[in-house]
Amino acid sequence: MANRLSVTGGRVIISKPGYNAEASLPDAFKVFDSAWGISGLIVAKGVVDIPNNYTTYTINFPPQHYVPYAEVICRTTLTGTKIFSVPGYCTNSQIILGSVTGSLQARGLHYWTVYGLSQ
Amino acid sequence: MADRVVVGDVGGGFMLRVSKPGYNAYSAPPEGLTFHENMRPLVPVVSGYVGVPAGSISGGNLVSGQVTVSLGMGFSFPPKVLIRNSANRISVQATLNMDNGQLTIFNDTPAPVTARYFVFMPF
Amino acid sequence: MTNRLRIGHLFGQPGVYISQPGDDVNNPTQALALDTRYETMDIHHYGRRRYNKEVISSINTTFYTSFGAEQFPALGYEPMFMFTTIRLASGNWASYPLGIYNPGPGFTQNFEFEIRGNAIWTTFDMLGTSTPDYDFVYVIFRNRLV
Repeated sequence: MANRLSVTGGRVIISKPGYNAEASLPDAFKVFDSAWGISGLIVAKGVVDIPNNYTTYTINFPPQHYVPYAEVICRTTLTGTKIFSVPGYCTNSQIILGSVTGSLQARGLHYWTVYGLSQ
Repeated sequence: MADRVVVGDVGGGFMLRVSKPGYNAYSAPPEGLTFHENMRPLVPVVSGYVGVPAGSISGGNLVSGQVTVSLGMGFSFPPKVLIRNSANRISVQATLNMDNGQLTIFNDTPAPVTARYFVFMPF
Repeated sequence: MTNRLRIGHLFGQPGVYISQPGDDVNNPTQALALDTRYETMDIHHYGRRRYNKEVISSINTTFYTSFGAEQFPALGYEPMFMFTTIRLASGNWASYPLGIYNPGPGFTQNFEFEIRGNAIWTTFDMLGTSTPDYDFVYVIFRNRLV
């Protein structure tokens, strides 16, 4: 039976079923390796229906000890391109939607995802 | 109180699980777990930093600044690319030539930024 | 040596916590490499398919469609996904975060992507009749969309 957990010299490796957890194992066969430094963490996600076109809008998420990264996708009922990404910026607890030019953003369902990635 | 972390051999098989609040890590369904030993993760294959020139604003419209960085590998399947930048912008846009691994990163602000790009592969 | 692994309580919750190299897991300044308070993206299925391409010369427009032909094993809920179109001209091009790539001269319009049950529905159209083929590529995660 494979040894699927290795904690050696401060490095943690968890392998996929059938493989021994060791440093020489290709990444494709690992569930996690602390040497990666990062993983696909989702800190928070949700959907908000913004009923009117807007220049700025704020979404709150649980405060973090760093400023994470977020992506927001809008599905709008307006004609033209129906699904697109939305600009804005992040703080450690908020996504503030809106472009730097202050232009109107479309109303609709806004799907937001906050990833555990720091600068 | 629910067991929230299980690490070790359980019933003849390896288990490493962490459950969400209210769920028992031994018995929770997949949606009750934040981490389990049989996950198929996105694997980070390359990451780095690059400076991106300022965008410009003219007549109320923004023309993004851009830079192209070589990832050092080609891709037969598109990776998931996430890009932070020093202005903490969200939804950062980029294009990737999968054949030669050239990643072009855009900057939607009127000042230069440092972008940190993360490239993940599904396996 | 910096402490990077903690199995137990941190941030008031039990879990497994691993910090980035050089960052102390007990007092981190950066995002953690592993933080089991939160979900990790867990892949369920991925695939790639060529859009059907239909040129309507009379309105100088090309339509790209794929309605339900691409399917994945059912999950029973609305999942997180990653989606990109790939423009098959002078190399394979992917774009982020939403995966609509068009370097011009026409512009992409009426772009739609939807997961209906266990099938992919997607379409867009583009001005012009001399337009390249497009594929779409998707990854479905076990994680719920919201």
